[in-house]
Amino acid sequence: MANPSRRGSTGEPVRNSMQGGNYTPWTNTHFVLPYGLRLQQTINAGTTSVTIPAGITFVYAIAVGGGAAGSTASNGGGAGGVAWGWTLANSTCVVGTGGATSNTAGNYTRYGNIIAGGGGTANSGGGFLGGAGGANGAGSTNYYGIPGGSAAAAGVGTGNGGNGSSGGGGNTPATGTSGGKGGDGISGAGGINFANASANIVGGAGGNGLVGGGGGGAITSTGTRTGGKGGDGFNIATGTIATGGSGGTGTGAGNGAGGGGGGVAGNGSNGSGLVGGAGGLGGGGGGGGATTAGAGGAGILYLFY
Amino acid sequence: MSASIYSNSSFTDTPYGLKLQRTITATGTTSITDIPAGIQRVYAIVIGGGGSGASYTTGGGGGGGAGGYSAGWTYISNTVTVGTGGTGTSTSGTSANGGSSIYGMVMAGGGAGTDTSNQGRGGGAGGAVTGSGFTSGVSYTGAPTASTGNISYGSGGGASGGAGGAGVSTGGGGGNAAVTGTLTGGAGGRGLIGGGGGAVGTAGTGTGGAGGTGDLYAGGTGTTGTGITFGGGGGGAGYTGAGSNASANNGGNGGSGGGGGGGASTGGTAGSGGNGVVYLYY
Repeated sequence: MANPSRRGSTGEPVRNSMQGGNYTPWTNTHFVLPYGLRLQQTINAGTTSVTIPAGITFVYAIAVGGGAAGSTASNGGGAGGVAWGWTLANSTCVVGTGGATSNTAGNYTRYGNIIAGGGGTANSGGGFLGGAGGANGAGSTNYYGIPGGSAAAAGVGTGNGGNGSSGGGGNTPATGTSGGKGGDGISGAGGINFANASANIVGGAGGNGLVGGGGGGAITSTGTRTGGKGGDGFNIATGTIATGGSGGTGTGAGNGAGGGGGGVAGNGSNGSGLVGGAGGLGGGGGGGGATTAGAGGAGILYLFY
Repeated sequence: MSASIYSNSSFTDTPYGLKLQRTITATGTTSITDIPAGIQRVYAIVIGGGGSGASYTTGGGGGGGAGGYSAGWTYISNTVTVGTGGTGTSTSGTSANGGSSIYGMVMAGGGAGTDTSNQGRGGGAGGAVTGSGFTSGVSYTGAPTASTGNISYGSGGGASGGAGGAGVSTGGGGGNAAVTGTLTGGAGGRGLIGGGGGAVGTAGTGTGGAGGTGDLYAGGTGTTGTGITFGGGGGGAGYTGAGSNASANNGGNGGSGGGGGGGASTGGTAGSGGNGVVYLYY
């Protein structure tokens, strides 16, 4: 079977990484990466310098901003933005951290002229440059000008956030027993908390995407509380789903934290008790937790050449 | 075995392996008639001129925004335009935008001069189009504008005394209209190309904001001291040169390749923006 992603003649090697005729399409991660180039560097938050070999003029970069933390009001945080493209080789970089504490937005990641924003927190719509909204927050326009989704209106319909390049946050639905889900997109939005006196309830799930948003918590009910699942992401280095964490579950007080969203480089953590799950490495949004909000996943930078 | 990007047409949407063939720094519109036969399109990197800082009779002016940065494929063209940096002056309440640069269908706007409707504000960075006041221009890729020190591809100018936003091309730092107390001007934003620093003019101790630090070059420093003869803002780093330090109450010039000019204090001369540049790869 010829690989449809190939840009060269069928079977013709592109770079050394593609030499040989015994590769298996789709299980070889090079086929999901740009133009057959090899992933040469993976750069984590806090790193500020990059060494590119002499003779390499252009580099293809995928930049992912940090995810937002969830909140102690049990709302999920938005996933970090994603930007990709060619840039001149550069010796410096900025890789954003995720939000560390309740209602803290993620930070931006930049390499050359490729820049992605951080995820937004609940109610603020603070995501930027592709960063998704937290619960009840709007998504943002990304690097390529694609608009973000709108936040859902409270008490209307399902409460699910709008889809876009980055999702809009979920909100309280008109009826039912679960909170609104964060909108889907390249970066998924945060789900909202859900409260009830005695019913069995579920927090809003995080939005799915290349990067997943954090799940919202289930609160106040004397019935079964199940936190919203973190949105799924996609691990671009392995070509597999980066799963969002599950929400914590149990009866009554002390339960119902939301799961963290999956990042582009790691799964989200599960929510447990009243502690929200952390977002996965590579921009996952943090889950909501009444005592401890889940931290947003740190941003990441991939360089191909 | 390896494929040649020069013989395999399927690689023509990637600049990988291309070589820098031309660097155009002469401002204004000039002719290019020596692209080799057979070259149908080129990959252009285009940087607009930086905006100038501002000067006011009293207090400090903001720093100018950095020029826009655009990159992409274009058909070949027989002309190229390189934007001039905005010229800083000592005329109160004025500043100048940088000029746009363009080759074929790749264009970059100039950085904005400061927002003279509000003395404290720095200028927004350029994008594909020129920034306006403290708001940046939309980028060539479509990334949105920003203002008030916010981050984007082209970031916003700082509010009064605040730093310009971070980005690819960055906003100028905010100045300060106050004339007493200990004051510090906002720094230009951190990015690939830096905005100018904001100025302060105070009877107390004043420190001009540093020009924005670039990936390749440093921004200039602001001046510090007691009284209105200090407080000029440093020039922002350009893509091809460092920003100049401020001198007394005068702003530093932006570095070549689009750096924003620094603001001036109390009737000093504001820094000029750095000129743009165009690179052609094929």
